[in-house]
Amino acid sequence: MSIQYRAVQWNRHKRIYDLLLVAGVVLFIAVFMIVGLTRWQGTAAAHPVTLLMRATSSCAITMLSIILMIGPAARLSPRFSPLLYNRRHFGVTMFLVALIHGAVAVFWYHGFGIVNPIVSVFTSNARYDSLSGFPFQPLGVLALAILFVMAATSHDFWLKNLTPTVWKTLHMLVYVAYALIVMHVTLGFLQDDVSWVYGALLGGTAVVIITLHLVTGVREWRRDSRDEGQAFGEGWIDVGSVDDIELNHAKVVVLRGCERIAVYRHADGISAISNVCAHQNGPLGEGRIVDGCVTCPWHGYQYLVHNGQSPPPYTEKIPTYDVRVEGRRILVNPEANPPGTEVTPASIPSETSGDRA
Amino acid sequence: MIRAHRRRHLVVWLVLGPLILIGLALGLWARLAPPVESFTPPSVPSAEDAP
Repeated sequence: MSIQYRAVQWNRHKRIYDLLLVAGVVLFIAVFMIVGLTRWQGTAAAHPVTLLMRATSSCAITMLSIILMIGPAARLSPRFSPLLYNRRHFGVTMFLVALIHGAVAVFWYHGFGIVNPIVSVFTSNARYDSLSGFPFQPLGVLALAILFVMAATSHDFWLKNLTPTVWKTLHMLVYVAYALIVMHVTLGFLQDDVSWVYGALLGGTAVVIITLHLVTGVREWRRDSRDEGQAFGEGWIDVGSVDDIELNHAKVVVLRGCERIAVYRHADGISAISNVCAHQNGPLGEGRIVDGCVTCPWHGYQYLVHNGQSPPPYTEKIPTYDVRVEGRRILVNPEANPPGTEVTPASIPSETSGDRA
Repeated sequence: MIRAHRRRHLVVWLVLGPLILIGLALGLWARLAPPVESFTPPSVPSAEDAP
């Protein structure tokens, strides 16, 4: 959580994750180089610098593809949610690998003339009217510029100051970067006399990524259009039975025109809080109560269930909702209380019946 | 609002998804189609070739 800004908030899990990440990247590039040097010989032999460019570009686009699949996969199945925890480190590492590819390519192909290498990238080829001869390198440079902005703002300092909504909108630029990279590869490397396998891999991966995002997008949009509560009179909404909720877990309720509400069952009864985490808008209702606190499944931010406040010394707050229990039915007032408002949990009349804990 | 962000996300992919696929298809088509420069006209017999 964000009691203060530090350059990097490391912990043991992050160190292990980063170690595995770096080892994976080094292994990928090393294997690619060794296989390339041994397999492509004679007239097909590639210069080691060319091989390095191919290895880093293959590694970066593989990493970007995985990154783009993690989000929708986590929406489809909570099993993938842990992958979100360190996605930022994955993204910054991917940018660094892409930067190596870009730097080597620019200086190898444009660094030996009298024109500035960056200027040369944009001016050496003006065949914008040709598909097979299209200047594909500027597409890569533009994608790299977007990835740089994203890597530079991948810190809670920017998340806090830009607000999660603006920050998330800014980081949607990664989709534009992906489109530019697909075209960079299609109009560049794939125009050479290379195997159709590369085109099939790029196209197949793009189809998977696009399908995943569209399927989850449509699913979420349909759910947002639903109204899962039933009016109970005087502004209260019946959101279901106490017995529907496992102890220390929540039921996420969608009410028309409102943000989603997480209705938690815990040792003291029933409480309702916003489903939106103050950190990155993660789905709090898909988390659970750990050490007495609602814990976001994305990055582990925690809130006290009865007042929506992060435990001291942390300062995050989320809205709470008035809640009561009639018989075994849970009634929620859909008017959100200001973030951090104390609400007494609704006690459950008979704990002996239907307790599935 | 997070609801608006979810909707924006869907709209972006509805626009970008087809664009990516069209770009890919055009690029692969350009790769597979024979270049115009490689077209070789049928040889015309010269005067020396005439019987």
